[in-house]
Amino acid sequence: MVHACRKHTISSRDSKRKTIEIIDREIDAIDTTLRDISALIHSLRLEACCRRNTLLTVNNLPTEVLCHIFLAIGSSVRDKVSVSQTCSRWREVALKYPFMWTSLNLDEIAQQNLVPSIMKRSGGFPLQVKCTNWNYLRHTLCALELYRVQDLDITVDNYGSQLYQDWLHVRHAPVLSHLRIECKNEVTIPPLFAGKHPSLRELHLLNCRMPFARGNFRGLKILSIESIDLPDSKHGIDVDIIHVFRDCPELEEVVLEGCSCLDEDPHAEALGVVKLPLLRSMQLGLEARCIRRILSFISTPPSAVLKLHFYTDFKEPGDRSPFTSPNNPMATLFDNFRSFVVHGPRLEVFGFSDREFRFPTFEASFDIDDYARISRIITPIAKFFPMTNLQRLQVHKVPDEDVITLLKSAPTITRLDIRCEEEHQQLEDLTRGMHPTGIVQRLVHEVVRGSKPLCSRLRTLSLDSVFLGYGNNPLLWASSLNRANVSGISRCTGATRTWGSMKLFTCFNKITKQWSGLTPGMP
Amino acid sequence: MVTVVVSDGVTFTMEQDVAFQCGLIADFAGGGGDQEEPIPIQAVNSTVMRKVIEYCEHHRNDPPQPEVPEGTPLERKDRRGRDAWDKQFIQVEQELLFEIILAANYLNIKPLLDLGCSQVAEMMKGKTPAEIQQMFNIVNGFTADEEAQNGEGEEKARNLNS
Repeated sequence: MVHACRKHTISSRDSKRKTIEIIDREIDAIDTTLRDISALIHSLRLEACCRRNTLLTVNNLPTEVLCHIFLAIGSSVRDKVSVSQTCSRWREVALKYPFMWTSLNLDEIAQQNLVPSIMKRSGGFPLQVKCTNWNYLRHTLCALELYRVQDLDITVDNYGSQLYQDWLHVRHAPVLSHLRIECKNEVTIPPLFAGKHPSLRELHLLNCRMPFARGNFRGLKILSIESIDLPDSKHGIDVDIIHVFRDCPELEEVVLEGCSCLDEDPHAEALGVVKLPLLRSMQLGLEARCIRRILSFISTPPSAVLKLHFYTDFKEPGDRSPFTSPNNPMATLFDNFRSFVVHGPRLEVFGFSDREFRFPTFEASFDIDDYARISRIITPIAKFFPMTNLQRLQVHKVPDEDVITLLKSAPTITRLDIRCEEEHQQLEDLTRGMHPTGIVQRLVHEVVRGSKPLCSRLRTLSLDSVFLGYGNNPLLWASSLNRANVSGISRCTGATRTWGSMKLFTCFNKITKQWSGLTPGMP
Repeated sequence: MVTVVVSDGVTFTMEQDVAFQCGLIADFAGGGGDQEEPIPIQAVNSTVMRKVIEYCEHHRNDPPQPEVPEGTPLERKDRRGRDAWDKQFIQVEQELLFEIILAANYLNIKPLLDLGCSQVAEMMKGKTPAEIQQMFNIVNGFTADEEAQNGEGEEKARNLNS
C-alpha cells in the first residue's frame, strides 16, 4: 500500500514537471512573440516618425540648404555636436559635410579623445581655429594641424606664451592667411614660422611685439599692431618699419598703435618713398616724430583715410609740433580737403574730400593735457600745409587767433561754421579768448575798412550756440557783414532765453533774410 | 519691368533692378530689357514672394557680394553683418522663415539665403539636441544603436568644456 502511494507520488511529480515545462515553453514563445511585436512597434514608430518628419518644412530643406544652416552655426564645437544629434537626417548630413567642422573654437575642447573624431570630420580641409585659453592640449592640436590652418586667432597668457613661442618659430604654415595673436601680458615674440608663411595676408598682433625682421611681414594686405602700453623704444627693433611697408606694397589697411619706430635709418631713407597704391586706411597712434617719419616715406592714394593719434607733450624738443616737415606728403592730402573741422575741446582735426563733411579722409587727435595749446597744432598746419581747395571751415571752441590764422591760410573758404559749447561755459571761454566775438569783429572791421583778406570769398557765416555779447553790436555786425554779401545762419534758440543779445541776433537773421532780396551792400 | 506669376496664381510686377537680385529671374530674362511674358515661379507662393520682394526692394542699391569659396563661414563672407532692418525683417514665424529660405535657395538670392540660415543657426545656438527637437518639432528617428551612440556623444558634449 505504501509502495503504491509512493509510486503514485512520483508519477504525479513527473506530470507536474512536464506541465511546468510546457508552461515555460509557452511563456518563452509568448516572450518571443512579444519581442517581435515590440520590435515591430518600434519599427513602425520609427517609420511614422520619419514620415511625420517629412511633413515638416524644416525636414524638406534640401541638403545644401541644411549644410548652409550648419555652416552658420559658427565655431562652437558644442553647438555643432548638438546639431549633429538632433535627428538621423541632420546627423547624416552633418557628418558628411566637412566644412561644418573646419571652423573650431578650441576653448570648448577639453578632452584629448574628442580631437581625432572632430578632426576626421573636417576631412582635411583648411581650418579656422580660435582659442582664448592656450593650454597643452590646444597647443598639441595646433602644432599637429598647423599645416592646414588657414585662420588662427589665439589669446595666450604667460604659461601659453612659453608653449607657443617655439612653435611659432619652428613650424611652417603653408596655408595660413589670417593670424591674430593677443598676449595678456606684453611679450616679445619670435619671428613667425621662420618666415615660411607664404599665404599670410592679414596679421594682427595685440600686446605682443615682434621685430620688424624682413620677411616676417612680407605680402601682407592688412597689418595691425596694437599695444596697451605707450610707445617705448626699449623694445627690440631690428629693421625700420619703413622696410615693412616696402615688403608689403599691397597693403590695404594698417593699424599701428603704440609701436616702436626708429628715429632714422639712412639705409631705408636712401631707398626713397614707398608707394602703397592700394591703401584704404591707415591708423597710427604713435609718438609724433614716428608719425612724421612714416608719413614722410610713404605715398598713399588720395582716397586713403588717415587716422592719426599723436602721443606728444610738446615739451621735448623733438615734439614741438606733429606738423613741422614742409616736405611731408601730408601737404598733398591737406590740399585735397574741401572741408576742415577743428574741435578744440577734444583736440581733434578732420579733413573731408567734400564740402558737406560726408567723406572723411583725415582725422588727427593729440595727447595734450590743455586744449588751449591747439595753436601749436593750428599754426604749423597753416604754415606748411596750405589748403588751397578748402571751401568750408568748421571750428568748435577754438581761439579767435587760430581761426583767423586758418582763414588767412585758406582764402578760398566760402563758408565758416562756428560752434560753441554749452551756455554755462561761454563766459569762461570769453575770458580765455575762445569766443567767436573776436572773429566776427575782425570780419566786420575788414568790411568797414574796405580790405577783405579774410572774407573776400566768404558768403555764409554760421553761428551755432554762440553768444555775441550784450548791446546792439550783433545788429550792427549783421548790417556790416551783409554789405560784404555774407549771410548769417544761426541755431541759437536755446540761448535766446538766457542772453538778451540773442534776440538781437534773431533780428540779424531776419534782417539778413530781408536784405538778401535787395541789392548787395545796400541795407 | 518684370512680371512673375507664383504658385497660387498671383502676379507680381517689379522693377528690373529689384527682380534681377533673384538669380533665377535674371537668368530667365537673360539680362535683357522688359519681360513681356510673366515668368512662372511655381515653387513659391504669394505670401513668401511678397517677403522676397520686400527684401529685394530694400537691398536694390547694395553692391554685389564678392564670390567666396565653398565652406567659407558666414561671418567671414559678409563683414558688413546684418543691419537693423534685416534683423527686423527676418523675425517671422518659423514656418515662414523656412519657406523664405527655400524660396531664396530656389530663386538664387544668396544674401537672403545667408540671412535666413543665420537666423535659424542663431535660434539653435547654445541649445541641446532635445531643445532643438522641441523647438522645431522634430522627432529624432534614431535607431536604438544610434541612440546609444548619441548618449555617449552627449556625454562628451556635456564634458566638452569641463
